[in-house]
Amino acid sequence: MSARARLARTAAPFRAATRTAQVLIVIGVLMTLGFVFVATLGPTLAPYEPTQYQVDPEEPEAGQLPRLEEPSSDHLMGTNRDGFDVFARVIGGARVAMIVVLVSTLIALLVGVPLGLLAGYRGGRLDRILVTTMDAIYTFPSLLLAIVVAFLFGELFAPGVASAASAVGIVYIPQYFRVVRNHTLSVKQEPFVEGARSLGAKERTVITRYVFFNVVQSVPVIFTLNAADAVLTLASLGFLGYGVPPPAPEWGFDIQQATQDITSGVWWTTMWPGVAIILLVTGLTLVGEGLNDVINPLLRARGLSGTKLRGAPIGGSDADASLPRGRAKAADRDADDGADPPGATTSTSPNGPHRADGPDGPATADRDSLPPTAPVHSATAGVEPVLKVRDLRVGYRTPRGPLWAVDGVDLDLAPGEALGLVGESGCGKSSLSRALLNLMPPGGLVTGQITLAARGDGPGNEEIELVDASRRQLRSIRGDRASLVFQEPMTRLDPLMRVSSHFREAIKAHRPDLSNDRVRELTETALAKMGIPRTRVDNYPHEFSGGMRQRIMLALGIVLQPQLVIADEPTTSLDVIVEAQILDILAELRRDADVGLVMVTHNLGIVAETCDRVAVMYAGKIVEMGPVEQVFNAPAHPYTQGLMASTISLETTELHSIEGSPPDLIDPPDGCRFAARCPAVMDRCTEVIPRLTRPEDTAVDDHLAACILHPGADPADPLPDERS
Amino acid sequence: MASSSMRRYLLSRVAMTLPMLLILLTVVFLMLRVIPGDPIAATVGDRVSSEELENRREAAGLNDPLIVQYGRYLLGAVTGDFGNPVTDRRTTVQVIADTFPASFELVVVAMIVAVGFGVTIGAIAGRLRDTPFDVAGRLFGIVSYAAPVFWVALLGQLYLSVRLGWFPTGGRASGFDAPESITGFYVLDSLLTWDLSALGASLYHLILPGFTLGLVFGGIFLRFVRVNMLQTLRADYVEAAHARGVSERLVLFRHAFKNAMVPVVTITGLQFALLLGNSILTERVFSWPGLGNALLSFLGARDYVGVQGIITFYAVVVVVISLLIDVVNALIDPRIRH
Repeated sequence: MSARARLARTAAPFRAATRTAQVLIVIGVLMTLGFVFVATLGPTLAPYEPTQYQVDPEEPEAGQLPRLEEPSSDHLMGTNRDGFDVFARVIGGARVAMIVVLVSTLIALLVGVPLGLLAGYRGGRLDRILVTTMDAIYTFPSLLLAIVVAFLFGELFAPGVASAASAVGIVYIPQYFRVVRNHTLSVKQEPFVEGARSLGAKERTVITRYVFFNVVQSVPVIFTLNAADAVLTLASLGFLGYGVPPPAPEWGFDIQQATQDITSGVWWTTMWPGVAIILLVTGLTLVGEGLNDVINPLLRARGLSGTKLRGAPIGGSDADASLPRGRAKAADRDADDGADPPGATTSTSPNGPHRADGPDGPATADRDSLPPTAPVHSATAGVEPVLKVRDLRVGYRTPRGPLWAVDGVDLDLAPGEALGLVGESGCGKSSLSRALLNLMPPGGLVTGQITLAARGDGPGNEEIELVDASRRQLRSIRGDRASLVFQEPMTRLDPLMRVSSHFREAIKAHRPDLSNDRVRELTETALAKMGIPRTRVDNYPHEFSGGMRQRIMLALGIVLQPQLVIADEPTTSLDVIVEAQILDILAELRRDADVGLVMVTHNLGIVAETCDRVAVMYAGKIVEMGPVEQVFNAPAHPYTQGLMASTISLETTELHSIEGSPPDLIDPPDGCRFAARCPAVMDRCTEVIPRLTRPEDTAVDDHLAACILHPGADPADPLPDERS
Repeated sequence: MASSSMRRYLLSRVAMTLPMLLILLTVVFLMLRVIPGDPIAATVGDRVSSEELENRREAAGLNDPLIVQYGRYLLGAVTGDFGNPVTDRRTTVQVIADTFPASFELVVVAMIVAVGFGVTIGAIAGRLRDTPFDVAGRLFGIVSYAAPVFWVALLGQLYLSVRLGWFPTGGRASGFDAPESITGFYVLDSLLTWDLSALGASLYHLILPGFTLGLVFGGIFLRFVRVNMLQTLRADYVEAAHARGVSERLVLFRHAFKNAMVPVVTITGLQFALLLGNSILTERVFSWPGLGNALLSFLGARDYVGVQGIITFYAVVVVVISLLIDVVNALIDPRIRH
């Protein structure tokens, strides 16, 4: 990697940070640099020496304390009771503070790092003893430790910068020790260490080098935060008389000297050294915390950097696909995960016999959204759909501009119908599933139309338009009339709450008047249906296995008998038996309660087993939709064909994959979004956005594909009914 | 079932504490044995005859082999005998009994202040990320952390006590103001004897030192709680609660806030130790008759026995507090018990 690329990568998280975070870091860096400047050059620029006697020799009054001069143009911050210029002392104090911070860090590093390497490398009893010792030191009040050490070193050697710095440095040894030790431990288990050893390299060298490069990344944060703390500790030591001894200018000691001034109303001797400490510590903390905010992925403000979204994109896309593919994919995926909290385990697949991890497979062309007038597809014509989606778009803010993860989707779902929504990671299916409940992370925007049909009669059950619904209306719909069942069952339940409390909370949110007994009864019934015995209702989430938790989540989703269930990868990370159980439960729901089901998955086998219709998504658009049998047996879109070819079945002799990666959704290409990966691509594909039309050779009416291979898909062609 | 898992957790936690205590005590013992000469000579060497010195040395057991002294020290520490200071007629335990309640009272008030304002502002700032409230709250948190304890205390003393006369300039309630001593904790004693004027006087003396100490540490809590809120607000279970139609208020308090508080309880132990250490600065400024000032006067007199005794006591307190905090944590978070 070139130096420039490396720099760009290092700076990337900073650019992705919010404006506020950036401003705070810059302020912190400027403040810190200001102090470094003052500390290095200041004493030569200051008007006086910090220990230069400032009293007028004309009036030497023996035995009397010199007069303290108020701040004036001569003495910007006044003079103190030793007759020194406070401004010069404050500047001199910056140098002392900087030296002590550097020396103490050096001491902490010199002791902490080798001990950490040793403990991590050797392990065993030595490790345990060292870890406990460091924990003990870490637990002990750091100021007391520093005082005692400064006192002892002062007795043993002599009080001075060295003993003060050692006292301050000892406090930080445990932190460096811990970081290095933990890295060493984890590196030791890495396969490449073994690999390097088999190549003749010394294991110790490999570990040290690798640990070094890893630790170096976390050192800036630890260092700045420790430096801030060190300045405070040094001042405290000075205040108590165990720091750098006079006459060296040290802020804490100077404040201690000024204690008596306060009763006589002299404020400047106390004020200025304190202000200096505050400014320096604030600057360092801003840098350290800012770095942490930016580097730590858990704290990143996703969805809040970049320009706020105001509405749907206008027209198609402007073509300037100059961005590298790799990044495009990453950005794309980020967006899709936008609603997923950190640490979410997205997909670890237990290999079922029919698992088709979608991405990669040669295939076809793809098209754009229908105009709202285009024919819409419903499996069960004549039945009022439970869910009607028109021109749905889901956008996120990103530092590079708006990203439309879902870009013009139309759908109908009949009661009791199951629609499979498939596509590779980042195609927008997770975004779509959240958007159906208008459940957006900060910075996300949903436009278009989502209509949920009335549920019988009665107040609160009427037909409702979810895109413009108020928060209160949305809240009353979610979990009651429409449920979203997430993947990652391990993290979706509040670890501090009993399972029964989750149910009580959800039920009371929608039926506040139900008695506790009734709530209990509903809970037990819903859980019993999922095979969770009554005796476990009051257990905590961590007491259940992943499969049980997923069933609990499902029970939570259907306890209030919704009209619509959206299941986002409900069986990912579950074993095949549990998967089958869950699919059975879902099927039963549709049959018995006429629930409309949207099943989001990348597992084509599940779709084949449980769904009536399937919609294939690519890069934010539906590229093909129709009855499962029809689409799977005779895919009309090259992308679907590629997906099918990459599926493993009993007859598989050769495994295909779709080459290339999905386009950058922040800056999507012109024309069909699949064109770049399509084996059947033509020039025309990059010029027009194909629309969903019925392929001419298909057997059924409601099979649609968006590829100009099929007449009518080119927007220049007449619409099918016009043709006939 | 829950109680048996709790008992098992407690046992294992205590078992983990003992080695740490042993190591801390060993470190204290070794540190105070590296100084040249012996404690008696260092303290009063130039003021007494060599015979007297030898007698006192013998009486203090300093002529025994180091390992014997170490054993005696450990035994003393666990049986509550922290030695006899050279410069004070009282035993170390008596010194501690006389001064620790004052320090503890101060630290408790400071802790209440710190947690109270740190948690409130931190949680709101986390919820309102990157709004002006958040930025102001963060800056306030950072600046109050950056302000040296003793400096804030001095300025408080200057403006609120000397200039405005709202508070006493220092010391604890004394003379007729002080409650009848039962436990040594004035607030507790005045409540026990239902002596309201003593209660008032005790609080009157406590407020300024407690606030100046607590304010500084509130900044740490503020920053910590804010960061935790940022994380729990994005947690899977929070989104899931939204998806179930749970009201914003409940999601915020029951899920995000409660989970954000778990790590806060964990650091409270560490913070308590830090507060205890830093209270030495407040005690110095306000002439507060606490353990910190007792330590400083032993240090000033170079009374190693006294210093060692007090440091040992601090070590025991710190270890006990971290044990207590872990127990509280286990009560709150069911996962820890397993």
